[in-house]
Amino acid sequence: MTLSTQNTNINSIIRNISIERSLFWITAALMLVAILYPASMAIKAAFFENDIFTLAGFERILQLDTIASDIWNTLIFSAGSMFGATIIGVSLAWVNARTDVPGVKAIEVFCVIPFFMSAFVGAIAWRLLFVPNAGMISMFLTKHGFPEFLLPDIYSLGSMIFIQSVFYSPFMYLYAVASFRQMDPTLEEIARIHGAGNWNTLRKITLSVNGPALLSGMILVFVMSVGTLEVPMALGSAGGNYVLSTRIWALMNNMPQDVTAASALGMIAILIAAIGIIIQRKLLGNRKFTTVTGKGYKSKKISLGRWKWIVFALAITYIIFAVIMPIVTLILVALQKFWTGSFSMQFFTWANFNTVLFEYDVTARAIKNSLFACSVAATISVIFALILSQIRSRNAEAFMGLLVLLPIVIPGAVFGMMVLFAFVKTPIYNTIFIIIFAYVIAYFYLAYRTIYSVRLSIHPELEQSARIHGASWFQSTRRILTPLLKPGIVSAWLMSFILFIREFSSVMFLYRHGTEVMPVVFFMLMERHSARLAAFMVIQTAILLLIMIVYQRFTSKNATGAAF
Amino acid sequence: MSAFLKVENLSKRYGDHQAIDNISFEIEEKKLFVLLGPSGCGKTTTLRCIGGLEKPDTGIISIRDETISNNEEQIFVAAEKRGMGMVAQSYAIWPHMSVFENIAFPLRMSKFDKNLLASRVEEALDMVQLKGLGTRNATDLSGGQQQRVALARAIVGRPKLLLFDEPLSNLDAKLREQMRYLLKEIQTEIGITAVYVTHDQSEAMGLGDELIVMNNGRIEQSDQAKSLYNNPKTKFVGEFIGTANMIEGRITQKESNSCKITLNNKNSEQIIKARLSRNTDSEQGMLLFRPEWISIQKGKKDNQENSIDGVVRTYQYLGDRSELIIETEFADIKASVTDDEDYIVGDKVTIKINENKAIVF
Repeated sequence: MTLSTQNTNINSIIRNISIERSLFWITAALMLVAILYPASMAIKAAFFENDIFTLAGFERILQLDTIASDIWNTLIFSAGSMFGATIIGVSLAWVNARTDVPGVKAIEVFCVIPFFMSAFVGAIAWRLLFVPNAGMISMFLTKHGFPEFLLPDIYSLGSMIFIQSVFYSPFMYLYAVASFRQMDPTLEEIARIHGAGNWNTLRKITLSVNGPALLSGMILVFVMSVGTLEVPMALGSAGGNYVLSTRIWALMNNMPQDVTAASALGMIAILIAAIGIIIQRKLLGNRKFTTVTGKGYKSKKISLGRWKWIVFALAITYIIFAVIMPIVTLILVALQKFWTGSFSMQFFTWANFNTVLFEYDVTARAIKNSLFACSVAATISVIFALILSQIRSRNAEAFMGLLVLLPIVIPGAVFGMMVLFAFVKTPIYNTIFIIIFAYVIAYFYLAYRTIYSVRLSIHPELEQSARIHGASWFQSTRRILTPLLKPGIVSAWLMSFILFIREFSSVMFLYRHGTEVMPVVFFMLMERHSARLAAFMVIQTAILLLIMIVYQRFTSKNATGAAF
Repeated sequence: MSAFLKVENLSKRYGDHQAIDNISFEIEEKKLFVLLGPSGCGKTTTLRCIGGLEKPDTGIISIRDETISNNEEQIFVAAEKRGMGMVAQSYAIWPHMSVFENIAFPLRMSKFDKNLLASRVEEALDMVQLKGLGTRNATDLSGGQQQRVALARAIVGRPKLLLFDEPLSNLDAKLREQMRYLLKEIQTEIGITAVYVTHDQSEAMGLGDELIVMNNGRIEQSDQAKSLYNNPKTKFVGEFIGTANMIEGRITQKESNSCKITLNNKNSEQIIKARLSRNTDSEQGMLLFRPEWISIQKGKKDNQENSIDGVVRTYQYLGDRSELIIETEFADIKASVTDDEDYIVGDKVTIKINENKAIVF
């Protein structure tokens, strides 16, 4: 009896060491190393100089006059953006998911565009509108007698928070809208029957029930804001409002370079992000609200009555601020020989597009580099996600949950620096593959979640019966699983591509001469040639919108929500 | 007694679908009133109109002569101002609140005296037999317990009217029966008026003081359970409530309350005497009788009055009764008898239909 039990154990172990399991664990281990190795190199850089343990980096940053204001600015900027993005994103989500506002479908599409357009592009566009003495709106207003001191200061911390909120609110939107749509509407109806008006129902039921999901979204916006270079570089640096990420970048790229101090600052940024996450966990506790849904009466959406058009107008205002105004501004500026602060037919030209596409080698190269790097990275992400979403065991899934979460909690700029440290002494350092590496690791969760959620919906019996009928693992994966996963694969690829092409914060640490990608060139052109910059941004936005259209055509909207 | 809840000429349309088609009914105070019908018959929409979750297209709804919904006068009292309580099919227990807070919610909304609140909640918990579970997390409870919490929440504020939207259909059979008794007991004990929507006829008949059978947005019949079963006014009600045998035929002789119907077949013809449900000009009729409205005699007895010959096809002995399916020339007839006779499949039998019970439509 004992012997046979042992035999079964051995047999089951042998059976368990199958191709898919080995492939899974090897890939998973590689991914883990790909995250932990750069992290350890960054820690080493912060605490060691010439292989000797030191706190000199921390001492040097404490001596900086700006350290307190950098940290303070980071906290204010990140927390402010988190709340701003939450207010905008959750309101839009509530309006779209739960009310009878007209034109929901159109609003829905526009609500996600700003995030993919990138906050850097948005900030530049807004800068072109409001820059003192040369902004399109500020000039127009002052010309017509608007007092100059009442104009918003586009370089102020307040403006930075506003723009960051506007362009990161789609993230909150996607979190909230998915959660609102999954909620059993009877929860709200019962509250109303028992005496809760619209406001109490919203506050005590809708927002509270969806609290955990909203909190998860909020903390991600917070961490992303801690690590972003986009708005802080486009607006903050010019206005003297440094945050940790821009300070780290300056320490790494300005002379004299101070790697140790930069890494020490990176540790502080990670600490801030970690504190945010700890607070979120504390607030969340064990709460994960699962609700029983009835077979269901399709609930009527909340009737806004005469508020309908006011709410509609607010949604349109958001779309104008976040999508239409930036794009129109960039197009107008791109069509000028040089930018004088207002559009004039006298200076009309198509030349900027011609220049950035064909004449100016850096921009032309950047387009090629971006398309190449993003396609390769998207393909790698999808392949890895396919392999890693195969195994359905408790261990494997717990491991993957951790694995995909790790890069998310590392602020973007710090992540860029880590990857740089990891490869600085290798041949990859000078190639575009270091950028591809960063893309894959930073956004892997997206490809993984997308494919994983489709994978979950495919019943294991479909593959099992293929195996029973003689197909090998490889054959059943290729002939059964891959075709079924195709929608997930395509949407994961497209989404990854969109996120990569707009990624700014980490690649700012990783490009070299010859490996510039498009966002890097934005930065290079930023202070040099507004019109060419605008033309280049229009091109990137056009590429992104094109892919988004393909994406919308190809997948249902739900897949987007599931991925986040 | 005068009407407590009054619904007049209520209609509601969704696009092309007429969910409720001009219905009117009245409910007396302290009664449990059931809206019964197949899915899509408009019963839930009616309930939601009463609750204020749905705005009717036309019609008047009033409680104790106070109008809460009237399209012509543009009156539509919001759901939260109607002072009702409701139990939903999905329990709709708020997952972010404790059991206590779930139940206290209606009281908090109505600014109930804070000093008395706790004892009132405890009282409600006690009533649904969940004493001491107040501090529990609502989602840790079982389905049956959650539905009790939902019931406690619905009654704690002593609402004018209690609405039940298929409250038991997510529970398993045994729990459903327990809950049914508890529900009826509580409703009678606190003397509350209730409207109860269900598609389950045994639930409806067991609970309802009065029932409305709905179909395609209209009221088929409004009556007490016994009348619905014994005196269905329409073919639909006869078929929907209980089990019914139905055979088509030609009405050959009409009197005020009874008639003779001739059942036709290629080879033979049989005249059955039965009650006439209403005056029809049509020659075609439908004979309806329940399995227990017949008696069975063994052997073939030609041309007896109100009888049909047949052969036993299935026979099940169920203790208190026997159920048979008897194959006849006109149709397969379900029979339920309480005699102690043993039947064997293939037995030749004669079925006698009770002329005072069978109905022709």
